Amino acid sequence: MNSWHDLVQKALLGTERQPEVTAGAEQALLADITHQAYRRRAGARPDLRLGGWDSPAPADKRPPCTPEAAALLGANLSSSKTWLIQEWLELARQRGVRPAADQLPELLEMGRRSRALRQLVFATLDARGRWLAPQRSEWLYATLDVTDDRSVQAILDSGLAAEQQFVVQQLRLHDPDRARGWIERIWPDANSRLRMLMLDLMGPGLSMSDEPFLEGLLDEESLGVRRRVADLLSRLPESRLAGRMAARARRYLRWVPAQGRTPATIALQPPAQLSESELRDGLAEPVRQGQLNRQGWQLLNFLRATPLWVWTEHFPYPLEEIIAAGLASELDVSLIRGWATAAERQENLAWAEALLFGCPEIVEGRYASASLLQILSPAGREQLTLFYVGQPDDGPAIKRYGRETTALRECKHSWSEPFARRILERFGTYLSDSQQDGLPQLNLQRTLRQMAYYFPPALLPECQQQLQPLVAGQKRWQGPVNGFLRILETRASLYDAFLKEN
Amino acid sequence: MGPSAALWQKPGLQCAGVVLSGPGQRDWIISSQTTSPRRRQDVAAGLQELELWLHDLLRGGIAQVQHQPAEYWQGPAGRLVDAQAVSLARQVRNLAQLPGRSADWPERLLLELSEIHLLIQAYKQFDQLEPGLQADIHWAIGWVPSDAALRHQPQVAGRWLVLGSRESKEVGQHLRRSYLLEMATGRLAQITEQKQARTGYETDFPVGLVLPATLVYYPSNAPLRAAVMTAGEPEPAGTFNPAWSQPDLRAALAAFGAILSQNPWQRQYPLILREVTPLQRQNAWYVADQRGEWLAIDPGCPEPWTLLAYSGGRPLTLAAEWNGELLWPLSACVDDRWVELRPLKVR
Repeated sequence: MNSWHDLVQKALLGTERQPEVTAGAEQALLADITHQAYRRRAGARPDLRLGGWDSPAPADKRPPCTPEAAALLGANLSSSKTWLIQEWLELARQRGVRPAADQLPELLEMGRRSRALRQLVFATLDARGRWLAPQRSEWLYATLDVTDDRSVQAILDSGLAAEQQFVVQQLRLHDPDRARGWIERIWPDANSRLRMLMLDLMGPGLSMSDEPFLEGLLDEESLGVRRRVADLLSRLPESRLAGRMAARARRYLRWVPAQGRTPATIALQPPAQLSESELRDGLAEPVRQGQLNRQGWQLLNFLRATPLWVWTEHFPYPLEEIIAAGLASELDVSLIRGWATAAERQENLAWAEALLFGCPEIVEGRYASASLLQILSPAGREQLTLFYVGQPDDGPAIKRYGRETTALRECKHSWSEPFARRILERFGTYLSDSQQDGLPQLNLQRTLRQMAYYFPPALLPECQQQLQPLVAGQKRWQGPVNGFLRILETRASLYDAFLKEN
Repeated sequence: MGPSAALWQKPGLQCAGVVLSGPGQRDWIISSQTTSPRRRQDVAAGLQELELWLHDLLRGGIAQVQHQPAEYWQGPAGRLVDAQAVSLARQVRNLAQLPGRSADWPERLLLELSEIHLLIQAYKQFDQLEPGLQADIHWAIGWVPSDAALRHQPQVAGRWLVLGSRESKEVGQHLRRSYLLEMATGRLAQITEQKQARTGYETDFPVGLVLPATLVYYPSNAPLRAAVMTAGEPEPAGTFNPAWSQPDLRAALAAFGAILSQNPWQRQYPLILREVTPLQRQNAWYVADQRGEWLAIDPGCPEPWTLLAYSGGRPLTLAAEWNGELLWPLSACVDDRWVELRPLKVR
């Protein structure tokens, strides 16, 4: 009997090219092929050639999440509800439970795709997730061990920009100085895009120990780099750049005392041309746009990078008077916005509170500095928002475009129950008067929707009870209120799922 | 003609050899003209022509077929369609896809030809064969028994564990093969369904649950194909008896060999593999048993990341479809529970 290999060769050539051409050769060849083919199929043996085993995943001490929580995640993994997955991961991490094994590949994949989820997925992965990660090159980011230089090096060497960025970001959270060390190492070979990314990553954990490296970077040719570096250095009130900015502040800005009924103001005497050292510090000729003129832009750029301590020293007045003079000045927008940005960058609570409580108009309209709320603590943010919302008898409950709406939208933290109750009550009052109001309410409707993500899910029954009857007859608000309640319901079921007994 | 030959009828042309589960969906089977002598003659003539074509193919050598136009394969297939040997016609038409497709295409082509050759030879002695084998020949040709004929078959009631399904697209039709295992006896069943444009698949087969159901097996020398006659609500499976799984890969392949010896045209067969570990080598996937022997997972199967995650590098019991060469994972037994292996969506 011919071997399978011989038969394949024979069949490839054909019987007419065989040394001996015989009658019935095709039938005989087919019979042999069939015989061998069935021997191969029916008598197949497993392979031995691969050899070697992978070491199994180590056990994880954390308990698994409840089946209810796993089912909820499973039902939403393929949806676009990133917020839900985000909250799921946060709850899992807070409660110290691990995800279900079969959901790990999807989570790893989600962390790869979504920058917003990457860090959370990474923090939630259990031992098995970390065992899986190295088996798929796309999951390189999740193989990171911040305590191991080899792991860091491996990703920095072979990873994509997004993966390199992730590594440095994680390292920065873990050990800021070591992270800066890595940035210094890859800086010379990095392209301009990666350099910008790396500078962005220096924001978290920024301290005076970064100052010498950053000061050196001000000699870089690229204006983009110098600007970003100057932004970082301006966050450090003790940096050399802050010192130079303070000296310029003393030179260019002048206090104009009050005269009779004219209040005190602040005047600008700008230089005709920017000096070499100013250009080095990332100051540039302004690009004119919007409501500010050239001088206004120059002042704004300048103020943003100036340490706040210089003002109370240069103008020997209390903070409140300085801010009042700013508001009364011709260049009020530049002054207020500049100070607000500086307070945000320098995380200067005294200035932030003086600005936000002292002149509430800065969160809206032309001053548009609502992001300053982000440096307040969650409790501080709630206190400020309630201050803007006012007392129950202060007239209209909530304005469509009021500062209270703007502040509410900056409250991107889990709300405390007393705060949530107050807002719910104000909203209820608003909805019960708004029957006659025919103006569009899109902004407020969006605000309500956003509130659903931060509202305490425990208050769901109260919300249902208070809001549903109010909108029963109102077409315009029914949709948004039901949308709010639906999101809150989903979140409430998520919290319940995590609380179930395992 | 064998005693069971009266069971057989021709299916409608649109069925292309597909069996549908459940009595309701098989209305299209024409229940008259039971294998009339005329039809048998047509098939015999079609097969004779196919045999001559095969001989020509081997005389000239299969190396030359790489450059043949599509009509080369259509010719014999067309005659088979006329004789309503639809499954066989499809198999012949599909041969056109093989040449040049992979490095080992000559071997794959020969494996297919061996099945066809065996069918031609078997049909020549049809009347002398066992009724079971006759039924398998008819099936391979593309003739499927009607509901009326099935009603005379014994009904098998039991608690059927759903091992999983595999969907495939053949000649424009979506087909799904689902595998069931009877919990008390370990008996296996394969249910093939066609997707309906409006309603999808008729029966829901939730992986890992048990269907209390009555099945009827299609006549065969090695009965596996079945139809669900009645089914109750799915319920939790309970403990799986390890005796229904194959102790190692060798034993599993031997079991498939035994099936082939009874029905040489059985192309897919479910294997339940005890204590196997999935792993990946150079982007190819395998399962290894406790002896350290390996079988390859079909590269056409979605990468089995869920299986790998369930296993964590430790052995588990796996249900898979075996086609004589490659495994297609269906489900796994994890902590005494059979679970589905979802594909990883990569965007």
